[in-house]
Amino acid sequence: MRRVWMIFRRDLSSSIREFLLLYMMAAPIILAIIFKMFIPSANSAALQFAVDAETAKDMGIYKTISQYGSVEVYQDFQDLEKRVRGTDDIAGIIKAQNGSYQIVLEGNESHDTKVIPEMILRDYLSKEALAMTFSIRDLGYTQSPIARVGAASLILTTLILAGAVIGFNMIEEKEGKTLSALSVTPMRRWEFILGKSMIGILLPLVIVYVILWLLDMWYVDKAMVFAMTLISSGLTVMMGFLISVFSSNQISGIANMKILLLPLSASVIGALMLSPSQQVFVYWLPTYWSFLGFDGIIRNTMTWGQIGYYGLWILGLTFGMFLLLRNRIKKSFI
Amino acid sequence: MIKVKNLYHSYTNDRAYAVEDISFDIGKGEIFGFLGPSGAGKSTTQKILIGLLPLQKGDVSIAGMDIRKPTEEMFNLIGVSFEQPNLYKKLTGLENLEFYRKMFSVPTEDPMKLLKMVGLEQAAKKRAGGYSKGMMQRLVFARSMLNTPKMWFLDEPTSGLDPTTASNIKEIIWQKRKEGATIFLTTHNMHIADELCDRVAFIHDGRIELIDSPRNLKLQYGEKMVQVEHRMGETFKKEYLSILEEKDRQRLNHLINQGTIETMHSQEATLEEIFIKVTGRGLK
Repeated sequence: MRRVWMIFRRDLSSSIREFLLLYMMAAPIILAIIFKMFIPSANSAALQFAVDAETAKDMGIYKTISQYGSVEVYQDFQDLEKRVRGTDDIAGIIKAQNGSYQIVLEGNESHDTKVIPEMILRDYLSKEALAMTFSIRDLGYTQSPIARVGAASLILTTLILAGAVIGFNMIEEKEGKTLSALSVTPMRRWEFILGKSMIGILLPLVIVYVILWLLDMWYVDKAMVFAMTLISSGLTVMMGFLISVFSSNQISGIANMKILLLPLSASVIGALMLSPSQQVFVYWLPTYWSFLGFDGIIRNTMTWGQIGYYGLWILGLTFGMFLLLRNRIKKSFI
Repeated sequence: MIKVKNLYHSYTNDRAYAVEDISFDIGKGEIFGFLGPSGAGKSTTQKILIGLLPLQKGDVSIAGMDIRKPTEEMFNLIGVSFEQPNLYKKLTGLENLEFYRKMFSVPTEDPMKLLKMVGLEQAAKKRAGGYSKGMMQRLVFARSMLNTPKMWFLDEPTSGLDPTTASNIKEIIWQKRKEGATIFLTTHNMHIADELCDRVAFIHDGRIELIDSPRNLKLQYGEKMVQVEHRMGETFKKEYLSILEEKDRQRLNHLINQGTIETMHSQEATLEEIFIKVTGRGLK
């Protein structure tokens, strides 16, 4: 394993020293930060509430608000105010000393964020007086679809770019003929392949969590995220090999990477736009299954059984592609 | 140390052999030169010996180990100095060596010591991409010594180096030979081969034409000549005279008796001249 680790460390050092690769590694995080700026308006479809501890003690109002959106509890008013002043839309609800409820707003919130808390409070506080009966239907979505799809797409982008980092490091080996030097050492073939793949496995494992944290999706099942990312790294490694096998230099590597972005787009568009019966046309894309997996995890609707099922598709398709290209890969590197 | 028997290799998997029926043995501690022009089959032979090309036909063993079944032990024994500067350009010279040494499972040399040996200690922390061609060549050479190889393959080790550095590299090669390393030297530089090798093999069109020591080859193929520079009035004249031919011997005696000789040197045939004589073409 020493050799595998050394190859990984070499690739990491080399990648950090090359602007293009450094950008590829950092791009998903930069995109997530930019995306976060747009999320407030996207998230306005889903309501968010910040309540103080006093309000939270009133289980009746707490449960009522929870039915309409996500609720965050703050111990003191300063923290609540800081949260309301954040970039996204969130309505603050506090209980005043006279027992009345007050809505705290920044002033630039969307119409729904301003009006709906009022309506909820009015309904709650006056429902006995009105003596009305009503039922609430919850569709189960606490995140806006745009935020959810954006996050899953960013994760897929991370996987593809990590694959490109593998690919470009391989191209460096090809261009510099450095593999000849390694081939006359006791290094084994599997150590080289695993060492080269490590950056594509470890990098997404870190970046995916950073993206989820940046996009306020830390509520997700972390173990499921880990499993899905690890499974999808098979696809990342495959991307890396595809880019390097068909590219003799960085320029052709960039061109091939652009081509590989097409199936990525197809899988996202296919999963979102096609009817379930038509989605069979994108079943052959491992990125499709990966997208479904991450989308499900972000929605909190994923089961371990589904992860296993999607994982089988991803690994099966990736392995199939490796088999198809094995001679080409051998000729290129070994 | 190395035994090659009836080695054949075809890139097209047919009877168009790049190397054909090559056989030789190299003893422990010997410097064996593989001489030939570009495209003669030198690199193909070396690539097979170090495992970069598959062994299609023939038998090759290094230290008694069949190269068809390469082991970790075998790769720990060999060192290869490539002609092309196959280095990681984004890593420093020191990082290149530090990375490479971790690939071996035997004790390795201190990279700084090796960089010092080849005169790169000042450039140790500079990226290899910023090295000159000669510096890269020296770094590749230093890298090949990391595992203290018992079987050392050198491909044009002094190519692109200035005379002082080339002389330093030759000193290192001699020193390593003294320490017991067996050296397979691939080159088309006959001066290097002449200076360093115990024996040389001439390879031409994929076949070995002859194998012998440079001294024996010169004795066998060289003509015994004398280069004489003598005064003729106000000018000097240079003449090449054979000491085997009666007419030239008489001319030499005449010049000696006249007392006009300024310089006189015995001349022997160069390896290149012998190569041309044997193969009918030059080494370039």
